[in-house]
Amino acid sequence: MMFLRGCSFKGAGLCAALLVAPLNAALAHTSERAFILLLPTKLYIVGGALAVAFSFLVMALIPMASLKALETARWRLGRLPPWRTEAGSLISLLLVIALLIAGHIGSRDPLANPLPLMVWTIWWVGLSLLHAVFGNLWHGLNPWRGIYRLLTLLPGLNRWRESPPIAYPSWLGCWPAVVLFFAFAWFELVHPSPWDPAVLANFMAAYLAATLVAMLAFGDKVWLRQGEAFSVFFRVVSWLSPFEIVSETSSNVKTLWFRPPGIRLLKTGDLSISGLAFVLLALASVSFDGFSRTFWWLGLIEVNPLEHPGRTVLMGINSLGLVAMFCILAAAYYGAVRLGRAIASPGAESGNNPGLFVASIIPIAFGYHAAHYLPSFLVEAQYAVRALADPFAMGWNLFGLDDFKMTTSLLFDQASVTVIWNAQVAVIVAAHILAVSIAHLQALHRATDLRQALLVQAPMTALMIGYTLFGLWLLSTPVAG
Amino acid sequence: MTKNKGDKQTIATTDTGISRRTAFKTAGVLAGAAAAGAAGAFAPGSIIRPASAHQGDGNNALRIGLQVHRTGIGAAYGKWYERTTNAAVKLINGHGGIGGRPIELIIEDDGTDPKRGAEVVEKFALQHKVDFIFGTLFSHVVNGSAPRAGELKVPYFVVSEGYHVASGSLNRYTFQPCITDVRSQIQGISSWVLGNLGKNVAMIYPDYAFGYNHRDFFGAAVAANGGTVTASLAIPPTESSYTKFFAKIPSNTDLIYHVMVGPGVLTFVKEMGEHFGSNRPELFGFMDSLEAVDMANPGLDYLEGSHFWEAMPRYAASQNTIGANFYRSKVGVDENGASVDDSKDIATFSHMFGCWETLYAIKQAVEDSGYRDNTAKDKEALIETLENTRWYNEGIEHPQGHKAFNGKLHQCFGSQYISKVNGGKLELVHTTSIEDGLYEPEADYTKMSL
Repeated sequence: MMFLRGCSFKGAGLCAALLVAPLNAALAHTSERAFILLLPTKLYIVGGALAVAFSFLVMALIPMASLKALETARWRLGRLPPWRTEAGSLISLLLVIALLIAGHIGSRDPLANPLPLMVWTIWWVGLSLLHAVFGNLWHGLNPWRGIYRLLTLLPGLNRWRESPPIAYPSWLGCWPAVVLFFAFAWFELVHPSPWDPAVLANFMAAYLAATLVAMLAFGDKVWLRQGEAFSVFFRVVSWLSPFEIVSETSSNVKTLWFRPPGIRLLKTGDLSISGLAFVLLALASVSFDGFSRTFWWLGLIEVNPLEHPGRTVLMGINSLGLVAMFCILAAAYYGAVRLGRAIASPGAESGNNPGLFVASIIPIAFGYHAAHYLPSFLVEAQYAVRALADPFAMGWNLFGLDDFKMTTSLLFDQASVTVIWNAQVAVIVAAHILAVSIAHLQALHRATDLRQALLVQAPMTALMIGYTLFGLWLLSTPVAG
Repeated sequence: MTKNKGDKQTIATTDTGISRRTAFKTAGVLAGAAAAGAAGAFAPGSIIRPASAHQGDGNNALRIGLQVHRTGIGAAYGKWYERTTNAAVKLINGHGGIGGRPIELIIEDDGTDPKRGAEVVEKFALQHKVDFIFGTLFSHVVNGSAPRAGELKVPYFVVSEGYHVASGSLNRYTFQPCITDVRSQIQGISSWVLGNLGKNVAMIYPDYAFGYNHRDFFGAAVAANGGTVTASLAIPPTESSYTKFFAKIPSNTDLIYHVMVGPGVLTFVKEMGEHFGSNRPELFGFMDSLEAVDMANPGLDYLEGSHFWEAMPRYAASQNTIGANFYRSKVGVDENGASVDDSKDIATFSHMFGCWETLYAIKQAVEDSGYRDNTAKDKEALIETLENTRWYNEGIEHPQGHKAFNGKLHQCFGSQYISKVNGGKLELVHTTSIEDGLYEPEADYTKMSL
């Protein structure tokens, strides 16, 4: 096999690092693979896919009345005390500013500087997990809402809150969020140094400022709902949460309800094309994060995985790969929707509702996000704690962590790797079963009878089974980079 | 062991303690600490950090850049390189620093990316204005970075074990003073391996440059020792199943020489066990395959009784010297080669000593050359001093062992260790002499202009 960029250096390759490399920016998710390769992964993969297929049959057998009851089931947990989200937002902004300063004056070591660890590990991975459990925390924690409120108290700007200077064009939909999320994904997956504290601080500062300007220009509500990529992302993830906050119309009182996890996805209804594109892009980006490291992909682009040439020279091909992953996913999704409609209602108009099953993509995207990042999160979260204790490299010990012992061998030990692998498989399979279930409920809403519902969702179910295979393969195949 | 004493033997350490030259200059450290500013200056693209417990003084400190593989495929090594370096810096600063000046260590991640490596070198030289750069490990990153160091005339110390420095392909400013290159390693172990484990050898190696080094250098040694290569099996880097290759090994093979690397290594061992069972040839491997991997992992028990090259013995019982034990305790590695904080976190013990030793080599060169300022004159004097260095004594500053240094090649030559897996641990069975690893030089950097 020819490898396009194999460096013809003399000397040691030292690529045992691939066996153990614990951190990689996505820093740490490769190390456990040597141990995973010893497991009967094919059985896991086939078993996972069969479980998803079986869930389709089970859903078909559940009486519709029971499903209806499930959809409406909710349990009141209590009233929430009134609070203003601006307070959390201002605290969040102060934290972000401190992190940006740390990005510039703290340690240059990306595993000692708190900025990259807080962004890539605690925020991007950890906060996403919390959203799936507790709901839309970002609504109160985003760093803009508070400063926007303060700025629009100023004379001259106060009218902008009610009447933004620029009307947000309705045709824009969520496209700004799609574009910004793509830029974020590119930075994370393709840029040579997303973990460099200063580089990250500069990107972050630009995004923070641009968002604030956009909020002032278009209004905070519309921009945070449709333009700001992470407000859209976290809101979408929060639909998986079993917790729902409902404002009582007669008063300012808010009530907290518990609902079956994921059932709120049904409320999303039909997302716009841009909303659909956003969800597919979220799935495509995290999938490409895994895929771009596989030996299979590296072989395809003629890169020797044992002598990985680094991210810089792969920027072009990985940019294309990211776009291609999105296009392939979008085509597969759209094809499954069209095919389902065609076999369920032969001869009928194909309709213009490609967002029919988008709610099902959300648990799949989140499930892979959680499983993919789980190993690295377990290690990097410990680095984050240590970095936060001395954020500016001043020799501080803020939390009295002199005796803090990091345990990074989680990824080097067969027993712990096996536990982590099983957790990953469980998350992937559960996510796909939820996706199949949601697709079934969505189909029932639209179909005239059970037969038609099953037919309309059959191709999408096949796609989900395929994606279960793909997701589990991504987590088990050799990777590098 | 024979010592290759040259025309200028610099004695930095003794076997029993810290060098006389470095003895207790804590007054200098205290003065430096007192002078340290309370806050880092904030300037675009630069940092000036205040003194911390072991990172030195922002004013008169000697600024050393650690180019580390913090992310990318070298990250497992980078973690231990950083840890070892910090331990050495803390120790040096605690004993008066270098030439009375504390070290200020600045760490930059190169992502195990050659192009980023060159950028990091530039950043060190132009923004951080470091005196020296050190720590690069992966050979393709060394090859991508060192030319820029040469252009910017920054002394650049690699800790790679690659043959790149000694091959003459780099420049006057690049040195590898404290880790033996792979050509010398292979030559060093070859006569013992062929004399004790068998002369009919099947070689299994990955199908790219790293593997070719082993194929070529050990293959030549086999011929020179009257042996025969019964099979030369280049394994495609993306291969994940190995049984079909074992089937190509002839039955008259005495020894399998294996240097597999990557995530397939454990599968390789497992399938080797399934193919050969108890009736296997002798096995000899390089610790690169299992660096940072616990020998007690299930599946590796098939390696019981086999032999490995180690640059420095992982298990303390194999090298019970004052220097090695002191180094091990300061870095925080237990007697089994694991972190004292986490008994399953195995160190990259056959490589990371190079960081510790290189810092002491820099210290010696600075003090011997009278280096004071980041000027061309002082740097040139330092380089010439290094080129005149002939020897590093085993001890606390060089715990891996004695080293001969060839100033023309900018490369050191040290003893290598051959260990046998016994009871799931590596036990030292042979230490090579420095002469075993010497080869005819192919370069002379001293003829290049400064």
